[in-house]
This record gives sequence, C-alpha cells and structure tokens, in this order.
Amino acid sequence: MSLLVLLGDDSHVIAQYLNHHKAQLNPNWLNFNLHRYSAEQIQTAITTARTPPVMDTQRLVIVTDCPFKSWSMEQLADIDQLPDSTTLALIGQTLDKRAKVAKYLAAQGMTMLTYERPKAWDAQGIECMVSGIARRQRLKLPKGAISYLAEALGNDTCRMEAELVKLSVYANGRSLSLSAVQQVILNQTHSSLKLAEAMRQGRTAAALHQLQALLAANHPLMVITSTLLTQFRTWLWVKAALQAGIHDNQTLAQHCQMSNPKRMYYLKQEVKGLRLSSLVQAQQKLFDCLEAIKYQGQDALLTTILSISQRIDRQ
Amino acid sequence: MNLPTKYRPKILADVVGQPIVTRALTNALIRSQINSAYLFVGLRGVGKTSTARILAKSVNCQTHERPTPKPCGCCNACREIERGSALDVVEIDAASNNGVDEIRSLIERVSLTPIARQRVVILDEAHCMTSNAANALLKTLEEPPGHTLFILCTTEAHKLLPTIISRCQTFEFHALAPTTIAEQLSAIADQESIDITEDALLTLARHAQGGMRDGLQLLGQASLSTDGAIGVEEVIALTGGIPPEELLSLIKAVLKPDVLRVLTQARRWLESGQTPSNIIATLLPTYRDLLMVKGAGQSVKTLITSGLTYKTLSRLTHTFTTEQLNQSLALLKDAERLLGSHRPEVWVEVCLLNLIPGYATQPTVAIHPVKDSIPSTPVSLNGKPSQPLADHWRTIINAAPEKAQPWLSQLQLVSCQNGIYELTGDKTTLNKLSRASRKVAQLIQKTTGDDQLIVITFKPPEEVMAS
Repeated sequence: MSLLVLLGDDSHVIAQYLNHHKAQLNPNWLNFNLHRYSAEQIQTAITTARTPPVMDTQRLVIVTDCPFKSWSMEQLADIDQLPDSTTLALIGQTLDKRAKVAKYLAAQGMTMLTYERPKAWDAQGIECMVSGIARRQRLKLPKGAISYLAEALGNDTCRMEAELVKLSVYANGRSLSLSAVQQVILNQTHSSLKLAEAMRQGRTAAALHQLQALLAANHPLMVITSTLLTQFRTWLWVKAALQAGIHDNQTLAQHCQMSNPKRMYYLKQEVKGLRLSSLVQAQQKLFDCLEAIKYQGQDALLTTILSISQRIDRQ
Repeated sequence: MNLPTKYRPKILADVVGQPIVTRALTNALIRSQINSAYLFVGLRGVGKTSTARILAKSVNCQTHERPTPKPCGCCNACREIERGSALDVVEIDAASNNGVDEIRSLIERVSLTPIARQRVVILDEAHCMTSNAANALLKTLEEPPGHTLFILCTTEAHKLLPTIISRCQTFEFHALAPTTIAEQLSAIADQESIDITEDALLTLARHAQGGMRDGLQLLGQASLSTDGAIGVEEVIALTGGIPPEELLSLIKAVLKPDVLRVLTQARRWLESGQTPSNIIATLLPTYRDLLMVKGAGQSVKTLITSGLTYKTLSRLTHTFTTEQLNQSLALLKDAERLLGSHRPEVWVEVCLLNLIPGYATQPTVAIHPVKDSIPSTPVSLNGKPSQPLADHWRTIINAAPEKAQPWLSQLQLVSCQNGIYELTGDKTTLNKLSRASRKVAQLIQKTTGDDQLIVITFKPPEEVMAS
C-alpha cells in the first residue's frame, strides 16, 4: 500500500503529479481502477481502496479537499488494511504534523508532499519556476527574458506552463529575441507603466503611440486607466511627502504605504522636477476619466492623456 | 455571397495581420503539439472565429494523415465543417447558450469518441457564460477527454474567470492597422474588379476601426452604391459622415469668426439629414486630432482618425492655442451628453457658436464640497481670512448687485489659484451658492477681467479649520 498526502495550493502541480500516477494504470480498465471522491465520502473511498484492482495490478483512489483538522481517528480506522496494490492520495491544504491524525497517518507510512505556489512578491521564486519550465520545454531564452516573463505571468503555475508551451511552439527550436518574447507574451501592467512614464516626461507623441499599441493589443481601458491612476497617485504621495520635508527612505515608504523602501530611491528620481500642483491635477483628471470612459470610451482616455502630458509642468 | 463570407480565410497563412498567432499555430500543427484548450482574444472582425474554424479543419482534414496547417478544403470533413454540419465540430454561441445546463450537455457530448480524428468545440463569445456555466466547464477544461479540442473566442477576456484563462493557451488577436486593412481590401477589390481609389480605401479602412469584416462589408456596400469609380466622397456619403471640405469650412468660419457661415453650415447639415449627434461626433475627433498635432507634431501622423489630412491640421493648429482647443473639446464632450434635450438642432447651433474662441460666454462651473484627503499647497489660512484674499473677495462683492451682497459677504475666500476659487461658509450659504454659482463665476470673471476658466468649489468650515 502507498498512502500519499499532497498538500499546498498549487493544484496544477498536484494534478500533474497525479497524472503521472494515472499513466501507470491500464488505460482500458481506468473506469474500474481510478476513483475520485470528495472529502465527505472518505468512508466509501477507504472501502474502495481496500478492494483489489480489476484486471490490473494497481488501483488509484483520490480524495480531494481533505479537511484533516476536522477528521477523527475513527473515520480513518480502516486505512491500515489497504492492500499493497492500492495508492490512496489525500489532497488538502495543510496538515499540522503535531495533530493526532497526522501522527496516525505517519504511522501508516504516509508520503507527505507539499506543493506551494511561490508568493506573488517572491520574484526570485517565480523566476526560478519559469526557468525550470523553460528548461523542460527546451526553450532557449535571451538575457532578461526570465525576469520579464516572471513579471508578466505572475505566480499562477498553470498559466505559466500554458504560456511557456505557447512560446516554445512559437520558437520551434530556434532562439528568440527579447522583443519577440515581449510580443508573444504581453505584460499589461508593464506596458501601462511605460505609458505613465511617457506622460510624466511630457513626451506626448510617445504616450499616444504607446496608448495605440495598448489598445491594439486588447488591453481593457479600465485597466490602463486605473494603472495610470495608481502610478500618478504614488508619485503624488512621494512628492507631497518630500515637500513636507520627509527625506528618509524608511519614513517616506511608510507614509506612502510602500512595502519596499528601496523603491523610494527610484521614485525620488522620478518626481524630481515635477510640480506638485500638476500631479494633483493629473490625479483629478485621471479620476474623472475613470468615470468618463464608461460612456465615451477611448476618446475620454485619449484626451486625458493629451491634457496631462501637455500640461505636466516642470520646475 | 457577401464579401466577408466569400473571402473568409481558408488556411492559416491567409489570416491577415496576426503573424504571431499564425506562426505559433502553424508550428503547433506541424509538430503535432496541439493544446487541448485555446483562448482567442480580440476585437470583433479580426479573425478569431475564422481561425478557430481553420484549426478545426486542420486537425480533421481527411486528405492528410495527421494535423496540417494547410487543410485541403475539398475533403468531406473540410466541407462539412465549412457548412457547419460536421458531427464532431460543435460551434456554440455562448451568448445564447450561456446556462449551466447547456454546458453540462456539451460536456456529456464531448466525452463520446469522435468519428473524425478530433472533436472540436468552438465556444464563441465565451465571456457571456454565466459563472456557474464557466465553473462547470472548468473541470473538463483541466482534464479534457483525449480527443477533444476546446477553442474559446471572446472580445472581453477580462470578463472570463481567471481559472478558465489559466487553463487555456491564450492568443491575442491584434486590431488591424488601417494600412493593413487597406492593402487587403485593395487586393480583394482587384479580384472583384471594383474600381476604387487608394484614398477611398484608406478612408474605408479607417472607418472599419481595426476590423477586417467591417472593412469588407463597407467595400461590398460601396461597390453596389455607384457605377463608376469609388472616391473618398462616395465612401464618406456611404458611412454617413461629413465631407472634410465642409468640416474645414466650418472650422475656418469658427476661426474667422463668421457667425452667419457657422449657422448656415449647421442648417445645411441638419437639412441634409445629418443628426446632431453625428455632427458632434465628427467634430470631436477633429478637435482631438488638432490637439494631438499641436502637442506632438509630425510623429502622430499615423494616429489621425478624422477626415482631415495632417497638412491641413497642422496649418490649422497655428491659429489655436492649446487652452482654446482643450476648452472646445470639453464643450463638445459635454454637448454629446446633452443631446437628449428636446430641441437638439438649437443645441447644435449653440454648441458650434461656442466653439468660436472668446464666444464661450458661460464659464464652466463646478460646485461640490471638496474632500481634501490629499496634501496640497493652496494659499490657505488658519481659521482667519488672510488679508490679500479677503481684499480680493471684497472687491468682487462690491461689484455684485446690491441684493446679492449680504449673502456673498457671509462667504469667505479660502484660496484662489489658477481660476479655482475655494469658498467657505455655513450650510445656508452653500445652498445659495450652488444655485447662483454660474452668476458668481461670471461676476468673478468680470471683476478680474481675464477670461480664465473659473471653477468654484465649496469647502466646509470644519475642513478649513482642520487644514
């Protein structure tokens, strides 16, 4: 018998792991030897698991969403009588090793595996994952592509896998340039921030071209506008705090509700030479625009961008 | 047969303007690395459903032993898919079959073994699925039966569940550039022997707004509307637009200013069947283009959307200031919203006359309590009125009619900067002010003597004290 306990929030990797197990079963007799139960049916699941396999040497029983905490020993009493041919996989979020259930399962010889997604802010962890999948896909990535992809795809392993497969199919064994990678896999926030950057520097033409590119690539208006609003609001807060005489990065970050004080250095550079009043006006305009795009569509955003980037005064 | 149906692409290489999508899909077909679920995202008429059908033919074409990027189009499977009668290719409009029951019966169907190589499910307008339906689909999308290919098409990917998106391989279909559309249209016009000028094609392409289907539809209409060659005028007449010459003459009249010409032009348009909203909708992009050209110059040449050429626009921009353009744009935007009034034709006249620089008699007034959560640095005072501001306010009050002077003096000027006047006072004065704000703004404009935009805001006394 083998007793598997699969923990963590990365359902995609868990599913892959189970697929690997499924592949070992006789495909013609899957209906008899592969079972999937929800946690309420644990008793039935154990009974099934105790039955020997049909026309095969193995049986796989999967129980999903297991609430280990609320299970009692009695519920799992028969688990020690499973035949060697059965694999019982219990899938859940967490299992406290000190709990009675955990100790009991450990006594039955469970194999516990944890698959956690990297946290959304853990850039290094995500990059590690991207490069791992890329290696498996035999994808030759240019310099800087890994960090770009990590930023664009986030910590959703399922999407990461799908997009990297797409990229490897697109590349077809050849090596890609960074710009090709950026074209195939779009990064919505990244490109909207580029637009904010052009607006801040008063480069109207660049801002308009960037907006056109964003719209052509199906970026929703609302997302573009709210990204702009967030960025301008950050600048406004930094500028206001600086003018109030706060220069220490740590305090500045606290005031601006920024988790990373190291970013303050760059933000300080960015707001240098900007006028507070024009930032106030920009925020007001973007806020109005958020309302206006509901009935005027992209016209409203275009005029707002025009008027902000033309009037952003520099001291 | 209408043009969009006749010239629907038959193989992947025929799909226009989507190089990334076609390359990736062609590679996938050649290497037989076909994903079990695809999501096609893009505006209407850029080739999503066409590509989905091509993909269905590509995996099932009987002439080839394995999936091919070039389906023959003449075998049984290909013809059936084109006719929409193939048993294994299900094309569902999720907009009308959006319930959980429809999706459940679909899931039951896909578990059956297909007759052809693969069963293909095309879910058009996938964002219209209810969330229950989408959730019902999730499990099948994650572990689809081996012979099934799901293709979801949508114009609004952000309305789909993130869990659906992450299970599909997403392809973004870009909006087509006007030049790309024009090129394709000109090739088709040659084949159909439609006589049309280059400029007319570009105008058509611009009007299609990135969608090839709209462009083809318009070309078809244009070919039927005249016997001879199709020029820009015919296209504009077809799309119900205003000819650029008339637009230019109106703007020139506005600039001169020639009030009579503005009025007669407005009447002529209305008499020729132009709706007020259409007039405003034509003027709006023109003014926006003017502002764009004024701000960014030559580099935005490709972004122009109105009928006027870059040359004309850049000549016009010298006569406007940025401020005037902004003001006119704001006016036109407001006009668009007010068109529902019962005499829109008068409103159009008023609106056109207000475009004349310096004629906009009514200053824009905004009145609302200011919620001041952000730090700002207006000329402010600590509870008491500071001297210069109080003086300034007194001069304004003195210029007011006698009847209004008592309640105006109950108000205090907190700050005035760039035409933004912040006033404070108790609740009764707020009510009075909100009723008479327009008059107060006019009064301020008259007293100060500059034609700056005046915005009046009211700040509750407790907030003044706090700041």
